[in-house]
Amino acid sequence: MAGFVLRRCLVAVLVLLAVSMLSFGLLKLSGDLATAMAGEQAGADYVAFLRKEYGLDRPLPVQYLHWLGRTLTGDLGTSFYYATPVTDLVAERLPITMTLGLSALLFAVTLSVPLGVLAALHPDGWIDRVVLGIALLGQATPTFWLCFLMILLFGINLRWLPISGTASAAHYVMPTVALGYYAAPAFTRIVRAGMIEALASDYVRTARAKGLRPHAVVLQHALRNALVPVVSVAAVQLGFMLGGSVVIETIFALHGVGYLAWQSISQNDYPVVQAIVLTIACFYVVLTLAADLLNAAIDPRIRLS
Amino acid sequence: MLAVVAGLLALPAAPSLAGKADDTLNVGFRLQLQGLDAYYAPGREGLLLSFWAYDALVYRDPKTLEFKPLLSTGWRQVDDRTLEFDIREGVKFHDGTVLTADDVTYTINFAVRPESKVFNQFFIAWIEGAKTVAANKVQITAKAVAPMALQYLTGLPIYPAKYYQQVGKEGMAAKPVGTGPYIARALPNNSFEFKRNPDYFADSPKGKPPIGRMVYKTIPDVSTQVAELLTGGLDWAYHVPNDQAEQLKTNPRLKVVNEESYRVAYLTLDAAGKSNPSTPMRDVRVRRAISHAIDREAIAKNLVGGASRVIHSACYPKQFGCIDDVMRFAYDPAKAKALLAEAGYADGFAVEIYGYRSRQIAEAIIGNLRAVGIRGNLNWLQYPAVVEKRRSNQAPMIVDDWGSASFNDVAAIVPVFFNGGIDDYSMDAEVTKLVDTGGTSLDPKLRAEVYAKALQRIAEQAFWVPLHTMPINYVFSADLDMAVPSDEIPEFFRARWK
Amino acid sequence: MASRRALASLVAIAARVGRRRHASLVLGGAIVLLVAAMALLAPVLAPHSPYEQNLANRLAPPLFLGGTQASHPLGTDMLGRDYLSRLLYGAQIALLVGLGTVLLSSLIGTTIGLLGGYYGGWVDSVAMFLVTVRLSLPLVLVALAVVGLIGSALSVIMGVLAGLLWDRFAVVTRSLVLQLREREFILAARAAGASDLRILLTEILPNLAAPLTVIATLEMANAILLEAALSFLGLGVKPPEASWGLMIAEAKDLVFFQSWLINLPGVLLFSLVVGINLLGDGLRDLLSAKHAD
Repeated sequence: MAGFVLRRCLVAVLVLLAVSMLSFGLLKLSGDLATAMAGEQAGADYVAFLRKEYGLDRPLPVQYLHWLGRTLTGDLGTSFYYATPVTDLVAERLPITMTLGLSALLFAVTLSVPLGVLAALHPDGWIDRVVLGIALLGQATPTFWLCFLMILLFGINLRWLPISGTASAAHYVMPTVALGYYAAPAFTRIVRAGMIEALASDYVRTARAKGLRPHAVVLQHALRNALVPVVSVAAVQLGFMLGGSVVIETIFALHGVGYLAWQSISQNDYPVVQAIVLTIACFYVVLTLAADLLNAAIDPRIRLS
Repeated sequence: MLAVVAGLLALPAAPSLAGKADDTLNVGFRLQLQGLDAYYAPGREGLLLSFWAYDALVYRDPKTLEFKPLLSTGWRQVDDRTLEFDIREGVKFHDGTVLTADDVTYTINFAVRPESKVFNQFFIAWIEGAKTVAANKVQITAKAVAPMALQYLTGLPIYPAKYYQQVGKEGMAAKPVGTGPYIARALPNNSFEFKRNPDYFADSPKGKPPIGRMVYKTIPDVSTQVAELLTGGLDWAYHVPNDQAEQLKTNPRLKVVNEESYRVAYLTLDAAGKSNPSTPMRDVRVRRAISHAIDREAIAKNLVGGASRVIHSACYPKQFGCIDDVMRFAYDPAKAKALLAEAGYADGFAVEIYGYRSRQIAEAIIGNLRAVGIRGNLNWLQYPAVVEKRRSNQAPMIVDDWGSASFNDVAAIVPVFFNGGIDDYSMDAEVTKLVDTGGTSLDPKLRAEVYAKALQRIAEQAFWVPLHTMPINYVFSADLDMAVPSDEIPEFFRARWK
Repeated sequence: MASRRALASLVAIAARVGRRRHASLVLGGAIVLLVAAMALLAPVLAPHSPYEQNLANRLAPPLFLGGTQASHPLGTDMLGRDYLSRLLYGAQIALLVGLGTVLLSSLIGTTIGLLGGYYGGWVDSVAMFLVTVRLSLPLVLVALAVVGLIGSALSVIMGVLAGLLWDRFAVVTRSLVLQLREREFILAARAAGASDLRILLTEILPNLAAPLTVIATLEMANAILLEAALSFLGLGVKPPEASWGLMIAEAKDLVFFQSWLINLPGVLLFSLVVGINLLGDGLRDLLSAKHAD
């Protein structure tokens, strides 16, 4: 086990290094940082001073190490637009996106586990078909369309839910559904597949043969095993959702990191953009690492592969 | 969905709006405030901030356009270049400290210093410096004769010197201290609270706000703003596109008013070759061709709508010094093509176009240009980023607009873009010289004369393609009693509930 | 030899389609074919140029909503352009983005998967590492950021999407190659002295065609939706091109009033994605049935 943990952690660190190089590349691609930092009225010598001060005149690998050193101490640079440290900006907005991502994950799991189980009980039956149909529609509905439909129905016509902002928990309902609905099909398919496999497996047959009642078999034995892959998929999906909420945050005026990223892109504020990419990638790496370790603890076979 | 929409506009009136019930005026903006330090908040919203949370020495009455004392009680011209102000006594900043002449001197001198890099350079470019000459007297000296001095001063909020030196621009952006009718504070989610200043000085021409609280909400999506207006989540919004405004008119709970502003739209062309020395737009024939290619009449009438009309000159028609009697370019694609061919671009050319305000107008312009062979590549950015592109010489063509900071004088638009500086893409010595003369004379006749000449040359050289005026749609709750500004400066501190 | 094997499997699949009812395959195929027909016949079918604007005749409603202009059966958009024509030409862009992206991304993914699976060892470790790095990059954000930097020419959009959507190709290819490489016909080829490249291209690749087609359909649907999302955020296909995503973006401000403007391209986009997914599901069922044989 210790060897597995060590190996897995090493891979995670390497992945983070690779992602950091890509983020750095993004930043370098966005133009001459010294000119951008100096501002429009600056003279050439001030630009030259900044270039030297920030080591921008040195070879690229040296610059990268320099940048990496700063990043590791939590200094992700300064936003051109806000003129404040990027770390503060991201930290301020991360809770909104995290709240949205986690609640959407919860919504997706609560919706898809029962659906997946129901579908698996009678594969190819009409329930199964309906469930797969719903999953298919979920995958194909453009997010923004769903958002506007909900605003129209629940926001304007029925007046059940507030439309924009983050003032209360109710404000998160529509964004949560919109984001979660997009992630739900993946869970439904996995739960369904896992359940079908588990129900056909030897130990469930044995349990049945021992005379256990059907729903006890389903709930106690099959479901537990079917949920194992859900854990790792949940980690992956949360990573996706943190980065995929841009459209939803823009429509519902949730000023989280997704909105910040979009805004920074259209303001050419790439120190912020690279910081967000890096932050979300970190989340993803840590989450998948945690999920892998958790799975390895549950299922010894994984450690050997 | 269609059936749902049909019922949408016929909704019964809601008994009471949330805003009125808790004495909070919810106002929606698309652009977020970049902090609460008015000197670093760009665009119109930044200007508005300076009126809400801060006061300047002088206030302009929006109806009569007269200048009235605000943080000063009076002023006099000491010599050609120097104005002396009597500083009002007993005015308190939001933190309780008393306003002094030194605060005024400090703020002006701070804004003028080049290394301060305040956003609106043209507000301060004319000032040489300020000095305290007596306990309550400040003299402000201009670099040259400055006919617009008082106008500019209306847009320079006065800061508490000690506090600002202590906290700097980050501190001010987070926790601002001014003397204005509202005390501002950042709320979560890019919202800002403006609370009535209970100690606001009684003699202020702005007056103490009747409504206790105003909340600035940043809602980037127009549809979301419309939805919030329909449901009472917003009590007020402006710059609502005409299509939506027309539809909202049928809702009994909302009032829609289309009102002129000082804002005009135009296309800037890189006549100086700043973005690329070999740009076809250095050729006057190409610039004239572009002028002929755009169907301004149709854009003003069908896309901008309301009271919008076509302009031919680089200014707002009612401004002092603005003339419309300049060279005109009728919509004539055939002539445009002929001119392009004459200039050696029979097959047209490709050009990067920047835009930030109305996508459909930008797309209509691209459609018009494409019809004569010019392939515009649209770059859609936010306003500050477009300014940044312009100032770093990367914007060959911008679908731009300018509100002249609501100044009733061409000095607020022509010198800004034709002064030979970073925002000038024609770099025409003749125009710059005329503009300089107009900017340093107190004689109205001479000023009108030189500006007329400058505007004629701008039109004749087609440095810009002036497009249309931009009347603004204000949409607000029928419960709200508030004058619609004719200068794009909403004075929420005068609003009250019905 | 290899091509004959591929042909035989195709024939077997075709026979199976004929034998059993494969509703999703047929339905999905029909939708995709219909959209392809729209795209190919756009120049013939479109009553107007998709770029021809007439500001005086903007927002004319479609005939089925009480419109009266027979020359604009689906009305006109906010610049007075014929909506039917734009929808038809939009099919071209949707399919172009979908196919172009998938061609590129399958090339990247399959190459990485083939090398990793066939050679194993450190090559495989590098391949899997690349997949992990790719997965840890937030898809929409990176796509937006790169397009925002380089610009949004159609080729750039396809390139960026392909650079982000290759991971499933790599994973599936690799696991299939791992199974295949110990099979008799590969061992035989190797014994006969065939080069690695030859074995990879002529023996292994043909066996991957069917499962990779399934992945390709799913990724194509993904690419089309992502293009729409990029366009919605103002960083997708450039005006005046007629892309469904761009049309939705242009109409979004009118969503509560002239909702047909957003619903028409929305429904087409939705149908195409459903169709592609159904096609993929159908193919997968077919393949698993084949394995079961």
